[in-house]
Amino acid sequence: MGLATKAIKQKIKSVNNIKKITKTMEMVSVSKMKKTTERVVRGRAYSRYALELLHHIAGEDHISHPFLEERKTGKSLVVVISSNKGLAGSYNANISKALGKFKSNVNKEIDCITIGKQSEKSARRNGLPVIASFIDFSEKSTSEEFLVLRDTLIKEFESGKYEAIKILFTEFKSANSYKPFLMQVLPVKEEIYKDLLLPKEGENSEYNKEKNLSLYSFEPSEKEILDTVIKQLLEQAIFHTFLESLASEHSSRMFAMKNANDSAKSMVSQLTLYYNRVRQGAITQEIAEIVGGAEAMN
Amino acid sequence: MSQKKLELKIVTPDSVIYESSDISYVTVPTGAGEITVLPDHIPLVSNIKTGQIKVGKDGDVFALAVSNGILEVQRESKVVILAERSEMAHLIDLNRAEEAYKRAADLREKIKDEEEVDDAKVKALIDKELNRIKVGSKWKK
Repeated sequence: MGLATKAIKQKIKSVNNIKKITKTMEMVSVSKMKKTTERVVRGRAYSRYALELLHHIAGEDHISHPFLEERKTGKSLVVVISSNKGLAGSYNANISKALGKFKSNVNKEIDCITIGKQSEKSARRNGLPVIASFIDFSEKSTSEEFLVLRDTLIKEFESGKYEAIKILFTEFKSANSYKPFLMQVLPVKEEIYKDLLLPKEGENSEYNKEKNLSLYSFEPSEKEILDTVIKQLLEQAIFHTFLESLASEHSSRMFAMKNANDSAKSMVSQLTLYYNRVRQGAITQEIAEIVGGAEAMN
Repeated sequence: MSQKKLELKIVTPDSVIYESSDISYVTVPTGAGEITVLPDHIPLVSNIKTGQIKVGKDGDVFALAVSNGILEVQRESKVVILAERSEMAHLIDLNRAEEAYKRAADLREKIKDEEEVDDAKVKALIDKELNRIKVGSKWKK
């Protein structure tokens, strides 16, 4: 019973501790995921109609508004949404990868606004300048807290520096399916909403892909309505992308922690087996020594 | 006589408040004044102010409190109302609305002397709560 068994025992203990932590993190993520998923699902109807309305407005040829006009020159501005905390499986890595891919696809200068500490890191890793970083948003945030972000985006867009403003977030499709998605928010373009408006898993949507041919009239005036409507819809769109990301983060972390917990479990059982074998070996050896010693005495 | 009907949806960021395809008319407080939408209305987009939405269905009338939203009238008599907040009038808890109003009024009193605080926001909040009380008590059965 020497040093070997002691070392193994210690290892078993530390793996057990890790197991406890991962289990707790899993439980926390489960409850957080449930809450955020609920919010996402409840908010989906609104966000869907909001996108549909933007889609309809953008599809109208006779409307002109600075928010709808395509630009030919300028940099790209990307809002990158990911988490503050790590240990969420491939969640943050996927966002980082998607950002890298976007960078190599677009032959332009890109500026970033980041939400979450991890996305700030991703931006820096990809060598992109970060012009603003938000780290205070959490599952308790309300859409009003996002007004700051929305106003920043609108201001930056109106300054004329940027050709387009996009949001890189993680779309939450179901508890085990989420993937990074790049959505253009400004200027508002008709085709960009098509993918997002496709029905999601377990959702019945009557959205039809045919072009809506209504010629809208605006009251009181076109400019005034478009100003308020687009701003209001943007606010919701931004908030909703954040919620989707949040739900993805929590379910991604939940699975990561579940896997970690499972591997810890199998590691403990392996170590226990090994420990017993070593212990048995030591006892056998001791008996052999005693027997050998007794024989030598005769 | 088979009459054309409106398809109405009232949606807030939290949930779908009301949904029916059997509506005769709906009256909405827009930025340009109150308007009533009847079946076969031309497509229209307008903003909604704080106030009450009146819905006529099967010869009956009911109301909802609403604040800050967007009205979209689509082709084929479809109406979508996206509101920041909306509640069925008969479901408004008047006591709680009163309390919320008092809280908002107190808040305004408290920040009256501070210059940096946005008074317009607090005023909008007070308006919203007052509106809820007004609509709620008017339509109480």
